[in-house]
Amino acid sequence: MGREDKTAEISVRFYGRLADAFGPTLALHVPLPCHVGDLREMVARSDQTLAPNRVRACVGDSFVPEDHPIGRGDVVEFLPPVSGG
Amino acid sequence: MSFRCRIAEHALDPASELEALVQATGGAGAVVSFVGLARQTGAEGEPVERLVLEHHPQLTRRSLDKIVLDARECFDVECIHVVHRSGEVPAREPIVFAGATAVHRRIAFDAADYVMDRLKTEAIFWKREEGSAGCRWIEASDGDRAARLRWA
Repeated sequence: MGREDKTAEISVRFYGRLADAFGPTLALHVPLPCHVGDLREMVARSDQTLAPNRVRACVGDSFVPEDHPIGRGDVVEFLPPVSGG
Repeated sequence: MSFRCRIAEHALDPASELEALVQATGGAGAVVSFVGLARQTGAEGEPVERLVLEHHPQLTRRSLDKIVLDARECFDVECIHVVHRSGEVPAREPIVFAGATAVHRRIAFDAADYVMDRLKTEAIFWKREEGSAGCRWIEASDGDRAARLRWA
């Protein structure tokens, strides 16, 4: 009997200054279940946090909350504070 | 009536954009426009050679659309046009054009002001100043955020 796969390959994409810190994209293998909040903690570094009050998360071109579940093949985007005009 | 926005990957010409706005206007007699230029000096006086703007392939256009739509709902305007650069903008070159037309000038002024305050804090761009002193990412200032709150 096969064992259910408890991990997923996902991609993380960064913009702005976050791309300078992490690179434009990361390929990750994450344990399931995994939510956006979990992913922030996995990816963050001591010199570069991904605090939700500053960095928004986006999946499928929609902003998502911290408890949004991440699925196999998802592309999660982290957007730092914006500045237009 | 004309409500539109676009992201310009190459130089925008404020004179052409203003002409297009005037051409789009029907009965409104008040035309107000704003042009933002890339600065030559940074916050600490360092020389800036260019501003580099990054945008999101889908969300940026959506953020501009929402600002224009909200301006249309908030103000009795005939036209709102927004053109926003992305990519490299040399110092002193235009970054953004925002224009509004209305029957009354106060409404046109307010609508253009509102659009700019929204763009400064909500338009999904990331800006980086580049010069001989290095690179620096720009975020909305306290002043920008305070200005945005005027319209809450």
